[in-house]
Amino acid sequence: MIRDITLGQYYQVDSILHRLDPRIKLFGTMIYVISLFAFQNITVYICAFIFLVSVIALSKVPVKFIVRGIRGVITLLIMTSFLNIFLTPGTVIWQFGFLKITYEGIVQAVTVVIRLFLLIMGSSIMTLTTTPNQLTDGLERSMRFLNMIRVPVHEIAMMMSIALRFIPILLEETNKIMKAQLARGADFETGNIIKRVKAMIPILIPLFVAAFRRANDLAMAMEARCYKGGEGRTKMKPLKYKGRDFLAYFILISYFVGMLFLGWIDFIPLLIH
Amino acid sequence: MKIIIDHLNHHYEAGTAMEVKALDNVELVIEKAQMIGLIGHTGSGKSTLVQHLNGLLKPSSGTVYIDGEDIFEKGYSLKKLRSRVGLVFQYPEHQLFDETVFKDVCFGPLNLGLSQKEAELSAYEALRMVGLGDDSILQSPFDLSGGQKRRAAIAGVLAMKPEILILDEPTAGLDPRGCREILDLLKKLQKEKEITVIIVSHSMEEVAEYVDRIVVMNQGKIVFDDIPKSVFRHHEELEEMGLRAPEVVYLLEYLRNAGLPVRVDLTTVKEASDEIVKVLEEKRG
Repeated sequence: MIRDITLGQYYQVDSILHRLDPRIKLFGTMIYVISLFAFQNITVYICAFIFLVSVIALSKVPVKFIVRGIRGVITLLIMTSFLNIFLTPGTVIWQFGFLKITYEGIVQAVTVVIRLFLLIMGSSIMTLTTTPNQLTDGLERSMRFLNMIRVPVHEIAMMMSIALRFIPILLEETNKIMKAQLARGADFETGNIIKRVKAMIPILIPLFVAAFRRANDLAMAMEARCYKGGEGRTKMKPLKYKGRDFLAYFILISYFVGMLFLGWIDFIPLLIH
Repeated sequence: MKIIIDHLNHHYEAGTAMEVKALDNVELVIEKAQMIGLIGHTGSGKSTLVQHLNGLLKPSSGTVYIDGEDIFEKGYSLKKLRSRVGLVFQYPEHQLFDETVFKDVCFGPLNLGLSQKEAELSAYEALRMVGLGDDSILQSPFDLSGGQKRRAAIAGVLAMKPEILILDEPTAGLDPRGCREILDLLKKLQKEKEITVIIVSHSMEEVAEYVDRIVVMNQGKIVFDDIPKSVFRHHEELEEMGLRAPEVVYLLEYLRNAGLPVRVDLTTVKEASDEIVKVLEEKRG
């Protein structure tokens, strides 16, 4: 049965990272990811790792939660490394029949695994320390400049938060409808793929009708309280930068500059050649 | 079609920190063609209990015997079970989905393996029983009125010809006339078709004049199981559980305490008014 699916993976605890403005976290994740993929340099990865570990420490989230993100992609990691090890052309260092392992292959595989690992851990930190609503707030505020080219930023952000809000409600609705149809002898498990897809109709149609009904009621309720879009609307908890946010920006920018430098160092021997 | 519920327990999220004991050693026997009112405050376990009766939920321990057979035994066909035990959920009109009311009502019997002709026959009978005419059954279910939709949804379950019919809050959201119509229909089914009817509700007042027996649940346990008049005498305990006896019971007790020698074991407005008139005339005479 559909049980309680916790949206995203927000971990509730009070830490510096949790108190940071969501815009910082979005920015930080972005430059972290760029730094991982712009360069292929072991020093860069080591620095990224140190950065990651310090961020994890600051977040006060237990390590086992962070590692959970990796569990999903373990198979992917293993598969990609295998493909890279055995299929990359280059200087062969070991051969058994037609199976060959190349030096380049190993380098590729290791790079991919390190990158994916650091990437997943890094983005997990963001979702673990920021609630979905904070993220939408952060995005809305960052994208505000798009208002100038007539993009309805507020309305889009409102749609995102309403959608997030309704996911558990609609899951519950699906559960109820499923039970009602099961009570009428419906069977969702047996039969070939076509049969099983057809069996979903008695769930999907009532679900759509329910969603529209709720949307209609919500729209009326919002209008009854004078909602008319983002124009002239104030926020109850506006995002305001605090001292620690500026410090965080400073740290992030220095990190990025440092990474650029380390990355460039790699290029210098190439330039000399 | 006798139902025996034997030492039934159900734990939600068993073994975790959030374990909830939804059913606590429930024991109940329901004879054929009885009409039972299953009353309880929200969270008392009544919905959980009825979902065991048609196999939607499995118990943590205990059994349910229907006609002597253990329904949770391996090999007991759930489809067979659901053809004998019909469960109508709250706001059943939300489960309507097909192009016409008629097609929707055929859904149940077709799932049970009946042929198209047999299914259509059952559907037609069921729609007749709930009082939906030829003009409405060919319409889209979404074009019907609220009361009609509800009756169409109930017909959808009746078409499966259940011997036991369970309805969770069948009168929710209906006006007084709608309530009466549904409850009269259920009484008719019990008397004419000898169907065992279980009505789950949080309002005793409504079901009092229709049911043979009231079973009151609280926190997963059965607290009272008796004829309506007897259950209502415990109205103080009922109030502690967040329930209320019919208003006339309170009125009769008030009058009695004020000195008028009326009987207090009456449940409907008519019975109460007749009694009060009778006692007043005796007093005068």
